Amino acid sequence: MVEQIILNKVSKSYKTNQGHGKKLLVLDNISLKIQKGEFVSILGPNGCGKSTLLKIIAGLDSADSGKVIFSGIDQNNKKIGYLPQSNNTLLPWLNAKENIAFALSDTKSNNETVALNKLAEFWISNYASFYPYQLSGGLKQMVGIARSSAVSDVLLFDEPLTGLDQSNSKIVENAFFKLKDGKNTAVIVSHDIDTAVLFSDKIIVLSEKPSTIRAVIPIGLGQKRTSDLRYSDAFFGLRKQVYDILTKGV
Amino acid sequence: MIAVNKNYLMNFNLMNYAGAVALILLWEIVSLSGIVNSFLFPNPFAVVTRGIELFFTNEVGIDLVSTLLKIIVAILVGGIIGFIFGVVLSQSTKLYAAFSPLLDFFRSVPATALFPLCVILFGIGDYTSFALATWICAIYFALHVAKGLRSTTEGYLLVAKSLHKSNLEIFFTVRLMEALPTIFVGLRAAVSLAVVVIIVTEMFVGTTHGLGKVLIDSAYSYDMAKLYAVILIIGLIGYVLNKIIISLEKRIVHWETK
Repeated sequence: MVEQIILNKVSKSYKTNQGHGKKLLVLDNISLKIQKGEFVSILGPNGCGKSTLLKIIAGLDSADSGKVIFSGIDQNNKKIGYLPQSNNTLLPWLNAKENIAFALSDTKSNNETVALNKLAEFWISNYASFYPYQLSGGLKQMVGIARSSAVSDVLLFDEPLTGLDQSNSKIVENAFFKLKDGKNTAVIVSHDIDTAVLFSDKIIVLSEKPSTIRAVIPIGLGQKRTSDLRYSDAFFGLRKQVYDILTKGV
Repeated sequence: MIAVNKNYLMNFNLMNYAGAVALILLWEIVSLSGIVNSFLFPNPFAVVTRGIELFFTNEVGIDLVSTLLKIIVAILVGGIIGFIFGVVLSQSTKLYAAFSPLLDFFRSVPATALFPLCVILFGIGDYTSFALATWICAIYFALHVAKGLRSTTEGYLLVAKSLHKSNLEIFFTVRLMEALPTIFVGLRAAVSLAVVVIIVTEMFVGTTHGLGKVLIDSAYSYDMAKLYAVILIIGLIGYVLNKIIISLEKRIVHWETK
């Protein structure tokens, strides 16, 4: 089980079209520690490299320098529940149950049993045989979240609520409250301050490119959360604090 | 007691056949009216009777089998060659950039323009028919397989890679699956063209057996009812092959047809 995710001076640049060998520095010496059971949100301006950072943590992109360490597990065999930023993360030719089973590596019948249990855990077992085109945006995200949760207790979500209407967002919010049980560790990339405050134990605010960590804001709203927290004074205070840091100098 | 498939009855829509019935009626009326020469334009009853006769007297049986075999083998061989070439092309952006314009060019060359060359290379007969149909199928397959495999949704790839799936697993469970709708587009085009190329080459390049040969022989001998009957049989072959592919597509690529 992962005890800590440590990012040690992670930097990343991309080739540009302007001149040979010219590179654009996107992430500049990002260092942070995420403890087991923590939910951490990464906020920052558009194009600052939030999704790139998440891909580097997931092992889907490589850092130019620096390291990502998952302490407490075999580094070469780490499994992560990663949900990219897209409405198309479920394979359209597989139904909800098969999409979860696809992520597992046991025998077919065991995979299906785990998949059905996961769907039940997230209150969507009625949709086991539904294909993605038969599911609403919120339900698709729920299946994606259930799939990630079936794979690992380390969860990486890229803009999980983007493009969802209020009722679908509410469905997905409930899934996040369920996941936040002290056992799962999550890194959530978001542009929405409200959801970041609602779910997170800690918010990392990135600056404009080249991105550095502008602030680490602890969110002391307790482990168990509900949607009603939105209406509390503590929530409003934290929301303002995050907003002020995000828009500083704008 | 006769078992009745209720689903079939429910799906059976008379309107789907209204056009065909109207055409036959119009044909019959025009034929009876004497406006057209009844020798050149025999009535539908005579054509259907001749068609049934052709079947029961086994007059075109071997030609039908020969044409069908050539079409199916050309699709299979061309499909396999095109598939392999398409997969290879899809693996590299540079390779795809280098060869896809070439494939597009060859696709644009009408198959009929290659008749003389193929006759010189393969001689008069079935080899030329088969080579041309295989060539056209392979080109359509290669183009569509490469295009389909190169347009995988990034989200699917990221999820599969994050799950540590091997490249081979990703190929079969993600890339090929997402490419299937595009491959089916290529298959439909390839089948239509294979039918055309086989029939035309049977007519003009020459063959021992084949519906194209029967067609041209009927024209030369002015057996008009037989000519029309064979045209109908060829039309039916194309129609049935297309229906089979559409039905396969609906079953296999069910998510795309919804």
